[in-house]
Amino acid sequence: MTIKDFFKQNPLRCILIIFTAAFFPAMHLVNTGLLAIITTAVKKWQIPFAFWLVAIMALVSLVDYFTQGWFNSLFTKQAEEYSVALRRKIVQHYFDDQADHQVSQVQNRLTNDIEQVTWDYFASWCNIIMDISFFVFAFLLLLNFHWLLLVISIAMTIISLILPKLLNKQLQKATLHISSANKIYLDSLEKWLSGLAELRRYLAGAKLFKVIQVDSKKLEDANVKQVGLQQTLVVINGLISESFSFLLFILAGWLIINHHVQFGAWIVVGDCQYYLASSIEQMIAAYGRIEGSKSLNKQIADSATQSSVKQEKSVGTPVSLITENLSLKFPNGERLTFPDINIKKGEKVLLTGDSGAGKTSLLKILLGEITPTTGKVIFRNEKGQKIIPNMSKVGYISQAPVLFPGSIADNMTMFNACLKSKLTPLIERIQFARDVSNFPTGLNTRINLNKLNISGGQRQKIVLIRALVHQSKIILIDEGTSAIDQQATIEILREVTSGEQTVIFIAHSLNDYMRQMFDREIHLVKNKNLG
Amino acid sequence: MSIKEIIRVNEPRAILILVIYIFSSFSSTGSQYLLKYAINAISNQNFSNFLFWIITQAVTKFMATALLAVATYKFNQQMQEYIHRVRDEILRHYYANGQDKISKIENELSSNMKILTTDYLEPGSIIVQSLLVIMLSISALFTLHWSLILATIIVAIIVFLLPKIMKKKLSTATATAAMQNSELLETISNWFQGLTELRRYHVFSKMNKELDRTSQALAQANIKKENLHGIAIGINGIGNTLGQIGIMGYALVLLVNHQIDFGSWVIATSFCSNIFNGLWDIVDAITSINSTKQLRDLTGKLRQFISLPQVVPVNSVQVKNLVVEYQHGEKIAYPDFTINAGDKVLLTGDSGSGKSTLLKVLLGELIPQQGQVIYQTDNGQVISPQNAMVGYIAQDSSLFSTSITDNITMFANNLVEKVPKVTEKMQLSADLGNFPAGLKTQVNLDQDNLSGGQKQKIVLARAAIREPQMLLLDEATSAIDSNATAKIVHELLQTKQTLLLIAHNFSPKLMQQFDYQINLQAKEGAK
Repeated sequence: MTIKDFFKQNPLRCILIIFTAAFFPAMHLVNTGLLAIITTAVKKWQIPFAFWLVAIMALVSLVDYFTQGWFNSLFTKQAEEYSVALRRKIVQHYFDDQADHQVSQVQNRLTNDIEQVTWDYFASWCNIIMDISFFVFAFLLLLNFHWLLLVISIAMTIISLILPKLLNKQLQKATLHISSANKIYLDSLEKWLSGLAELRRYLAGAKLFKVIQVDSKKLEDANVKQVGLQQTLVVINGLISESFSFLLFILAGWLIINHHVQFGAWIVVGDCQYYLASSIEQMIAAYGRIEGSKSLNKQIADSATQSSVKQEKSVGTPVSLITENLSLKFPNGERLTFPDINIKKGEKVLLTGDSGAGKTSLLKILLGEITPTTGKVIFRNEKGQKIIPNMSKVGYISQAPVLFPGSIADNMTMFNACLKSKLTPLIERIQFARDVSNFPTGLNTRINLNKLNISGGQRQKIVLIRALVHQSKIILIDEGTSAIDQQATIEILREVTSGEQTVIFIAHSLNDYMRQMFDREIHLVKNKNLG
Repeated sequence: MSIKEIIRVNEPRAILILVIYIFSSFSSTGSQYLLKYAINAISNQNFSNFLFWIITQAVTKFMATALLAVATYKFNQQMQEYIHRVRDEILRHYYANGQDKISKIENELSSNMKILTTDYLEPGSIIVQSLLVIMLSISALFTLHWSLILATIIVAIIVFLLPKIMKKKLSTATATAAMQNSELLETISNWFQGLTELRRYHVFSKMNKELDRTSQALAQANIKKENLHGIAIGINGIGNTLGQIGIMGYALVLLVNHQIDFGSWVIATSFCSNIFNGLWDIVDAITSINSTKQLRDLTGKLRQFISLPQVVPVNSVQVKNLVVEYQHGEKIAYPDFTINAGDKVLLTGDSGSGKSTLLKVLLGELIPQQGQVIYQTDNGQVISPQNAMVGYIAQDSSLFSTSITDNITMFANNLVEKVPKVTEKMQLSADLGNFPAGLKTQVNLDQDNLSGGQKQKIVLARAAIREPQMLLLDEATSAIDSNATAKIVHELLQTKQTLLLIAHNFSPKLMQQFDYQINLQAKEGAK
């Protein structure tokens, strides 16, 4: 996220944003100046002129407020359009980078993070523009009256900015003191209350109350102390700023009485000094926010760049596969090693093993969803040539098949309209036709992911048809773990094992009926070597 | 929580705070008023007169600042003392209740008290201050010209009503934006949870289209909301312009008609802004106070005094048809049994057979689904478990970070003289010899300066010193070596106490010393 990109989003509007941000502080100061002129005019009893000026002042004030409102709209429009563009880039990146992305993390990045940086970064830059404008116009207005007023005002501003730093250290100490007192209080609550039953049994409440009272008193005293320090600071600040504004007023009075400046100066000095000090203070705060948002800003920028990882060029439909030296190491140090397997075209293989032996992991390695720590998977096509597989030709029916918000047909074709005509025969074959006819709008029924209107078995059938319509020659199935889903799996099994596809099926619970449908069984054993 | 209570914490101080608030408000409005004389002095070209008034003005203004600081400090003292009382009352309530989680208690005593301080007590003081300033500003305006008050009231009504014009539209737009935001979140969730599947089938464009659509809908909703907000800023600006420039114009009319002097004209608007700002502050404070309603109700309930149940010493117990059901549905049915006065009983059974659970029921900490536990005193009076005084040593009894003596007497000073004897009986004397401070050794829960066996001996001594008529022990010697265990058990068996003891590692010889055993069996398929 850069200022440059923000500008480029709509250069003309951005210029307008900068203009309005600088314009309304100027209007503020124009009104302060007008007030001075009015005062002088009244002093000289130029009444009609004064009333005219009051009317102009009201007009300027209205322009000021409406400009603020306009700025607000313009900025939001620019920021929102920029956010949309940014989200588009990030989504593209997340799709391309082949990495896993947690849903909650993606949600956070695309909403909160972007919003936070919009406010902490771009809005802060706008604040800086406003503050510069406030400072410059206040400076000019004072200078217009008398350079001495300006010098004293600047001196006041500097002192009012430096002064709080003097007591700052002690204030920080007091704050730390509160937090440590609070910690002690909580710690003592924890220690004594964990034996509450025991204290009650021996009626030792009096001691409990006494101990806790002592610690709560310490916390309360720390709070009082901090307020004491804060108020001391307020008094010191007050004393110094009173003396300065006293000086300023005396100077203004003297200049007025000696006709060096007009009477109206009296009115503006206080306001101008306020604008000088607060604009600098706000600028420092805005700069702090900009600095603070830098790391998040960089993270967002990184995830909005084009991903360097691209999906490998996929060629050919695989029909058979072999694995070599596959092993997988988990972050907790556990390591799975897999036997080399060789699965021939059209073979129906049953994959069994203890829980934790890595059946699902193996399937995910075959699918390319997990990269193995060692070893590789080699796919071959009809002609027996080594190929980089087109993964859309490898069907995968997981324990919890993923559906997308779209119609049932869309979920089968994966939004590829050309495949739609091929669905009907497949639906007949997988015996999904009856299910379809039960839906009010048939294949065009929209899937509602919140209120699942689709059963587990129906989901699996949809995903199976998805695999078949994409002409997958290898189908990997992870058996559902619940009993209801198992029944559906068996129906599906009967279907796929009678076809020409190569099938690898993970069975979590095995029965003989299932076993006889397969050509052979691969049994994984959990290996105990850790590290 | 009420103003009365806060005042009652320290009445003289409360009065002092109010007096200082009054003086401070008086000085701050007064200093604004004094400017009038300084201005008039300049316009009369009278420098020395001007100097006098400007010095008086500066001193008054500084006084206002200093007084307010003192009042704020004193108010804080009052507030913290009040919070101290509330904390103590709440702790007493939790103690008597005895059922709550530590984290809940900590939360109530720490963060909830903090919220009440900042969102209830402090806004309360702001209301007092604002009311004072408003009252004084009204009086000041009155001395300038009565009609200025009328003008201020009219403008105040307009200023408060203007935001209402956009309020409904704005809140609808805000709700729409919030809805679009959750829709975007949902769309992200729907598509990203199948990311690998989408990649396999190269379905980027569809996903991108859907996300882009909701992303743009959110952007549009936000833009609409902020457009309305922008208009609201402008409309509210009309009110502010009226407040600042309108009042000034009106005062100018008064000046032209010679109803007020030049200095009054200059200062009039500042009193109007005092009133406006004061009103806004009060509205904010009330909003904040209202937001703590639930918390105050809760705190009010927790401050109510509840008393501990009365307990009576008992020496025998009868158990009939007892069935306990756990939350996850498992059921334990116990055999009927009676333990007579002075019986020494060993409770055995496999793990999971419900030994500890039985003790909890006997102690009244767990209410059984079925059956009865009937205690009797030595003169035959029937007592319920909640009111029975029964000694109990848990598997993991707590020690407190204080001396070993205190841990044994549980702070009952009249028991101190019995401590050496009981430590001897409970085989703790040898361990104490290793500590330089002996019985005065402080238990350190963070550094864990005692062994598991030593801790158990202390807890045994704690129970033994009170010589309860009935004592239940749950694996109370599990960390103590078998030699010492035998001696301790032997000591316990010598007493007249009724004893029920869970243990699993006793030697057969030791087990024989008990009068009888109750053996619990884990039942299969008790679901």
